[in-house]
Amino acid sequence: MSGRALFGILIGWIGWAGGFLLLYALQATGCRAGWDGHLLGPISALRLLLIITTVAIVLVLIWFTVKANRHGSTSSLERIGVLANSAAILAALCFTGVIWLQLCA
Amino acid sequence: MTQSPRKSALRLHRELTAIWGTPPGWGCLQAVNHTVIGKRFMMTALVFFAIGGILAMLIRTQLATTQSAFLDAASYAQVFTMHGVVMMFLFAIPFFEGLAMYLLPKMLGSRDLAFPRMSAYGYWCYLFGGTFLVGALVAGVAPDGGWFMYTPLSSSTYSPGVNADVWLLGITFVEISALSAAVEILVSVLKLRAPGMSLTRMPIFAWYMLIVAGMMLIGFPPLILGSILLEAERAFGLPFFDPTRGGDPLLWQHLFWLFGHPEVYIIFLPAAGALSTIIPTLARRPLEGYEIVVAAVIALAFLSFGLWVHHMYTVGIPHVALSFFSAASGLAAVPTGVQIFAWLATLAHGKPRMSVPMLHIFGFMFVFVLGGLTGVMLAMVPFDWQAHDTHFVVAHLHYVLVGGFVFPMLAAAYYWLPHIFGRQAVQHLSHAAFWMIFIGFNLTFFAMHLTGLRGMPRRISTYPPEAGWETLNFVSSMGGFIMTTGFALVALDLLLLAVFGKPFRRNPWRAGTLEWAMPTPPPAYAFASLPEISARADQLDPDRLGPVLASGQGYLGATRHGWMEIIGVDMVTGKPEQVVVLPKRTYLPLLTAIATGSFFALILVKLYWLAPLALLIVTALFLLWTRDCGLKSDLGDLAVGHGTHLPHHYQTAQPPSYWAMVFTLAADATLFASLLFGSLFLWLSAPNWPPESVIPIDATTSVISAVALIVAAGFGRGAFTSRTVGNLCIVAVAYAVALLALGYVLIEIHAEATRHAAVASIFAVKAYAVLHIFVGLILSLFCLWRVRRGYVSVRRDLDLRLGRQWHLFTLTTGVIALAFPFVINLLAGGAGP
Repeated sequence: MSGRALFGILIGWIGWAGGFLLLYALQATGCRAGWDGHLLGPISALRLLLIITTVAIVLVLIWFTVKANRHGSTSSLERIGVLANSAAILAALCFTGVIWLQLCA
Repeated sequence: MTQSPRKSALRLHRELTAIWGTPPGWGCLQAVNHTVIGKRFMMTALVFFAIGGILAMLIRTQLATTQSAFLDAASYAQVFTMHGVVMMFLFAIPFFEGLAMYLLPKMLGSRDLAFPRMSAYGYWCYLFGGTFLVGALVAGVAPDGGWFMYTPLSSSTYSPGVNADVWLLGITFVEISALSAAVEILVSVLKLRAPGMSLTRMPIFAWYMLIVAGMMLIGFPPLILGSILLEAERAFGLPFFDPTRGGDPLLWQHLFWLFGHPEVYIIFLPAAGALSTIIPTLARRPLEGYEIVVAAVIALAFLSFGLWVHHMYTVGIPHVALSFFSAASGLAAVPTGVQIFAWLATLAHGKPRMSVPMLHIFGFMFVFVLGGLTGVMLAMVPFDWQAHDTHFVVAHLHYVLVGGFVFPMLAAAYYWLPHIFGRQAVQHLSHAAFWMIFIGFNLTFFAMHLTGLRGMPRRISTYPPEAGWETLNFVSSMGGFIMTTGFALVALDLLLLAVFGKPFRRNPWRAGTLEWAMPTPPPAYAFASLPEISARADQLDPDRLGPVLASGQGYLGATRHGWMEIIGVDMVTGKPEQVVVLPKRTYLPLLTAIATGSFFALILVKLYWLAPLALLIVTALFLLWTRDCGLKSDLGDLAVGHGTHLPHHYQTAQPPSYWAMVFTLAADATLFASLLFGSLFLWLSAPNWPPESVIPIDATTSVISAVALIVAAGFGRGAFTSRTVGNLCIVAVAYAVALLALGYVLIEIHAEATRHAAVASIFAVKAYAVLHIFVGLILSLFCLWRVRRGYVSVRRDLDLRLGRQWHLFTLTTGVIALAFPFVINLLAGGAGP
């Protein structure tokens, strides 16, 4: 009970931090491996991978929030969880540069 | 015959003081009490603040005029480096650690922190480490490569003296206290609260400190790792940062700023916690948006870790990666703004009482908001490229840190000093001191924005007359001296408060938090009995509660066997779970800190062969700490008052030390993850990869070690369920085998490790595993001894429980360490024969 309730208010941001590291690592690895040079139609393989990953991160964050709030936010701790997890979803805005910005130096 | 409440309160006071008090004279060196240690932290931090301030004045004197000959370039480099080091590492964090140690048990309705001896050990490490750094300055061998100690400037090629070693060893020594404080605060806030105080009934300051302690737990290990790797390069030639041998100077920047940016928030958030406590009291209204403020602090904590490259925009990182960090930097303004609006709303809806703390809160609002705005400017990559490494950045960071830390600290000092001294301010000097600091600060640093925008770089000791920076620099220097005079007046004012302040009865601010429900200055035991909390703990009535608790009508309102007793609760609900019995005062924290300091000193003087002996002494001293711990027979549940009976903490599944181990392993895992990240970063980014020759791998020893670790973890688990000596003997033997096998590998590859960063990375990862296996061996032998001496039973299995956690962690990290060379070889596929 204790661990789960505490985890519930952090899960969104843990997901955001994990997503951040995953995207940064994928971008760096993709550049090292030359995936930016492989074109898949109008965009590179690396960009497609990063966009798919970003969408997946946002979906996972939404799922975390919905799951954490499935019984309704009745207690103060649950309300804090909903606020924190919703903020984490909005913070996924940080990743939108994968759509148009230069991927590799 | 029943005693009157006053007589029973006096009797209880005498009994509790005999148990919890610290003796005078040499006995004060045994102190472990949170009130004593908290005050020592704060006082020592203020001494370092004064030293840092004097260094700042030297800097301003040097820069006041063009081509100044006041300091030569080498001395100036030591002075500005030490100014940053002292203010960041020796003043800001330790001051709020001390404040948290002093306040948290009192605000949470407890009698002490979870691990008082660890607090004392942390304090001594801090004092010795700080003295070590300042002593180096006096001796003229202080660090001189900037407070961030960038490589390659700090590598042995360009900094051949001991200056950089002083930084690396001194800071690592000091950071032991930060990590121990983080674990201490996390466990204390989560487990040691008054019965009934659920998480959401906690005073807001406890939320802030809980989150900050979590940040420290994750933020400091990368810095400690970076320091170890750089010292290993300087001392033994392992080329982690040397680009000619597969290293990369940028690895240092990543590791340093992984710590360094969260550090800014680690400094700001406790100050914000103090503001969130003081503002509602002075506004005579509860904090607006308690829940949204907690959510904002959580958001800020995580965002602060997503900003580290914010300091590295100019090193050549691709645009998309810059965008992640730039957007996160900008976003950090949102949760900060949420808090500022919550404070403004509280003031707007309340009836603010104009007072000295309120004056400093005004100073905070003005200065910090300006600093935040320039922070948003610097978060934008194109602007940062223009202003990078100029005095604009220096001005910004001072607006953020002085605004976000020093003004709140002064507000907190004026607010809580009556609690510490039992006297109220006379306030003859307080207003003049504030205005001198406020005006002096803005003169100094507003002008510095302009010098920066006119192109003046950081860290230069002189500048030519034709640069056109002299007038602005002169204004900055004059402002600096005005500000310093203001701080001197504050020091005098506080001294006057301590000596001539007006005594008061209780709760001079009419606050609603528990620290005011006790006599002031506070007794060593804090509360004679512990309260039951049924409302939010910042809206209580300390004037009514105080006498009730003093007369022993709360929980634990009587002494038992001379034990130092407190109540442990469920982390979320605050339901009482256990009676936690704390260990007594002892000289061991001091002796252990001296031994720890001798280890660092031996490394500094390059007596490497002797350093392991110091480590063995440290280990032996830590083992001596356990003499007072444990029970030799099972106890029934203990009466705690109000008809409640609770088990002794040794007879529960999750006592405070269980959680301390969980959090320590979390910090440890962060360090290991940072090490793996560093190695993979080198593969991705460093020049001169792959290495020219094959990386040596000994599959046989890897298999032997892996099997030994699996056996150790398996039998460690078996020992937990069966509590048999045989299982523990097998654990010890398995660890010994793994130690021999991996020790052999280390010896085999140590010469190769200086050749290329790939091998150095393998060496570092395996050394990490060896260290953990060694600790596992010690732990298994300790558990063996405890079982044989009768400390372990079905109900008393804490030692084995902690051992099981360690064995599992060592197995996990050990297997990764064993697989690591294969992964590196695979990644560096181009390695030729």
